[in-house]
Amino acid sequence: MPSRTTLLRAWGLMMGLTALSIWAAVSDEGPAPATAAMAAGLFKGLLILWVYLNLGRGNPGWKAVFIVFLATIAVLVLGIFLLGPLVAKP
Amino acid sequence: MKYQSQRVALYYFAGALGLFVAQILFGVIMGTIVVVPNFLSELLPFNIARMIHTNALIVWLLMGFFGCAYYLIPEESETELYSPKLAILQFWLFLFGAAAAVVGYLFRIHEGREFLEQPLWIKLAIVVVALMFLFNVSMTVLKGRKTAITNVLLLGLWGIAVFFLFSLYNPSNLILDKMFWWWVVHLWVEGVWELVMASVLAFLMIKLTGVDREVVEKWLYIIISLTLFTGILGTGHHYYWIGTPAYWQWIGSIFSALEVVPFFAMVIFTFMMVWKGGRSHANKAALLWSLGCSTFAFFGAGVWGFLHTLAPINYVTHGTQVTAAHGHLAFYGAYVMLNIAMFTYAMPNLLKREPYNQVLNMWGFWITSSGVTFMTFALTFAGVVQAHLQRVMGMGFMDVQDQLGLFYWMRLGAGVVTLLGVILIVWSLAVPGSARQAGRVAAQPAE
Amino acid sequence: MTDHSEAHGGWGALDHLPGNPLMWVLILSELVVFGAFFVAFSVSRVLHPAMFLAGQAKLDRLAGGVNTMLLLTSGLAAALAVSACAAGDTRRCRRWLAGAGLLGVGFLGVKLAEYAGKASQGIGIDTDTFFTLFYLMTGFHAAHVILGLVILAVVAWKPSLENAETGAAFWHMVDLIWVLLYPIVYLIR
Ligand code: HEM
Ligand SMILES: [Fe+2]
Repeated sequence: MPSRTTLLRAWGLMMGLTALSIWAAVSDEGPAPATAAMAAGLFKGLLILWVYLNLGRGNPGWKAVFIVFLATIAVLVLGIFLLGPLVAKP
Repeated sequence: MKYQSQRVALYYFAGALGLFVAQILFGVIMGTIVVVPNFLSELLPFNIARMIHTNALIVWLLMGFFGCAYYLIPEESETELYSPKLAILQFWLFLFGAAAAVVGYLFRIHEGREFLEQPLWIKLAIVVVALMFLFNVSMTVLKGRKTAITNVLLLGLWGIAVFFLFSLYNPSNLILDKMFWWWVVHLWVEGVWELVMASVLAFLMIKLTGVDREVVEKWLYIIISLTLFTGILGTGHHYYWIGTPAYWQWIGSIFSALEVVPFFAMVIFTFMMVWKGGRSHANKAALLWSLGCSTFAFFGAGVWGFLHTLAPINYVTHGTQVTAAHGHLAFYGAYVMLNIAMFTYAMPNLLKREPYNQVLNMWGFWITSSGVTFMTFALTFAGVVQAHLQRVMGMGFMDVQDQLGLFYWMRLGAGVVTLLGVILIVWSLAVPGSARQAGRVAAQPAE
Repeated sequence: MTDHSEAHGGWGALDHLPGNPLMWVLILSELVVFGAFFVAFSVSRVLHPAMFLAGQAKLDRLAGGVNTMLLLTSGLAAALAVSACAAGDTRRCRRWLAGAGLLGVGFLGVKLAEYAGKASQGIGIDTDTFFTLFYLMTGFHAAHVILGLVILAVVAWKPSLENAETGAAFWHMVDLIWVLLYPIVYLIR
C-alpha cells in the first residue's frame, strides 16, 4: 500500500497540474498549450495507476502495457491534432 | 455417457441432422434459381425457398442446442435429467411446429418478417417448447451440481427464450419494427448464442483435452464478459440507416468492432487448451470440429463481420452480397460447427459405438468447410463488385446483378460441394463404422 | 498487491492486478472503448475544424476543470479507503468510501448543471457531430460514475480487502478516463 504521504503528494501534484493546464488552455490556444494539456493528462493518468492503484510496485509487464497504451492514445490524439490539418488541407 | 437420460439427446441430434440436410438442399435450389431464374418459379418461388432455408437453419441449430444441453447438463450436474419423458414430448412438439411452418410456407402462409415468418400460433408453440425445455434443464441443474459451464449454458438458454419474446412484438412503425427485430436476431447470434457456444466449447475442452476444470472456467468467464460487453451495444451496427438517431453510428461502430475480441479469445482458448492438455483423446474428429469451430467463427463472425461493421463502410456494403458472405461463414463457423462438434463427440458415446466412421467424418469436415469457404469468397467478391457498381458508381440494381453471374455460378458449385460434405457428415454419424477403422483408431475408453 | 492477489491464482496475467480479475476484464475493455472514442473524436476534429472550434467555445472549461479536481480528490479518498481496509480499520474504510462517493455525486452535480446549461441553449446530442461525440463520451463516462457509486456502496456494505480493491480499481479507472477526456474534449483546440 502506498503511504498516506505518497498519496497526498500525488494528489497535490495532480491538482497543481490540472490548474496549470486550465490556465494554459484558457490563456492561449494552439500546439503549445495543447501539448502541455495532453502531457499533463498522460502524466496524471500514470500517477493514478502508479500511486492510487499502487501498480508502481506491481508487475513490470502490466506497467509496460499501461505506459504503451496511454502513450499511444496521447500521441495519436496529439499527432492527429497537430498533423491532421496539414493532411486534410484541400 | 454416464446417465441413461442423456440418451434423449439422440432425438434432437437426429432431428437436427435431418433438417441440416433439408436446409442445404433448399440452399442449393436457391443457388440454382439465382442463375436460372425460371427454375421451379411456379412451384417454389425464391422467397418461399429462402424462408425454408433460413428457418430450417435456425430450427436445427436450436434443436442441436437442446440436444447439446440434454447431453451436457446431466453429465455436468451429475444427476439424471429431471424428466426424460418431457424432453421427448418437447422434441415431437418442436418438430411438429417446424414441419407445420414449412408446409404453411409452401401454401404461402407466413407473416413475411424476415426469419420470423412463422404464423403467430407457431411462435406461441415455440414459446411453450422453450418453457418445457427450460423447466426440464433448470430443474436438473437445481437438483444437481452447479458448475460454471451449466450456469453459463443456462444463462444463454434462458436468454434465447427471453429475446425470442420480442418476435411477438411487431409494431407498425417500421423503425421500431426493425429495432426490435434485431433484438431477436443480433442479440441471439452475437449475445446469448455466444454464451451457449462458449460453454459447450468449454465442456468439450474439458472432455477432449483433460485440462483442469478451474482453468477452463476462468477462460469461460473472461470470454462471456467480453461477449456481453461488446455484443449488447454492438447491436448499434444495425441501427445505422433504419431511422434511429445518428449517434448509433458511433456506438455501433466502436462496440461492434470489439466483438472480434471474444471470438479471438475463443481461438486462443481452444488452441491453448489443446496445447496444454496433452491428453490425446480417441475422438480426433470431435477435436477437429471444436478447433474448426473457434477458428471459422473467428473468421466468419470476427473478420468478415469487422469487414463491414464500421458505419462509413457499411454505408456502401449494407444489404449487398458482402452481408450474405458474412452471414454464411459466421453461421457455419460458430453454430453449425459447434453443433457438429458436440454431435461428433456425443453420438458415438450415446450409441456405444467403439469404432465409428471417424475418418469419413473428418472428410466431411474438410469438404464442407472447403465448400463454405469457397462460397464465402465468391460472395465476398460479388459483394465488393456490387457495392462498387451500385453504391459508388450508381448503376441500377438489375444491371449490376447481370455483372455478377460468374460469381453466382461459383457459389452454386460451392453449394453442391457443401451438400456433398454434409451428406458425408450425416452418414458418418448415422451409420456404424466398420471394424477396419477400429484398427486405425486406437481404442481408448471414451469419456 | 501481489501479497493478497496470490489468493486468486489461475488467472494468468490478471492475477498481478489488484482486486477481482473479472473487474480488470471490464476495466481494460472500457479503456479500449474510450481510447477508440478519443481517436474518433480527434479524427472528426480534423474533418470539421470549424464545427469543433465553435462547439468547444460553448463548453465550460472551468466546470470541466472543477470536475477533474473533484474526481482526483475522490480517487484519493478511494485509495485511502483501501489503505484503511488493509489496516483492518473497517470504520475508517467506510468513512473514506463515503467521502469518495460524495465527491462523485458532486461531479455528477456539476455535469448535470453543464448539461442543463446546454439544453437551455437548445444544444442536444443531435446538434452536430461535435455534440454527438461530446454527449456520447461524457454521457458514457457519467454512466460509469453512477455505476461506480453503486459499486462503492456495495463495497461499503461488504468491506473486505478484495472488495475494496476491486471497487477502487473501477473508481480509479473512471478517474483515469476523465483526466484524459478533459484535455482532449475541453482543452485542446
Ligand atoms: C456468429 C456470429 C454471427 C452470425 C451468425 C452473424 C450473422 C449475420 C447475418 C445472418 C446477417 C444478415 C442479417 C440480415 O440482414 O438479414 C448479419 C448482418 C451483419 N453482421 Fe453478423 N453475424 C455474426 C457476428 C457478427 C459480428 C461479430 C459482427 C461485427 C464484427 C457482425 C457484423 C454484421 C453487420 C455489420 C451486419 C449488417 C450487414 C448489412 O448492413 O447488411 N456480425 N450477420
Ligand atoms: Fe449484428
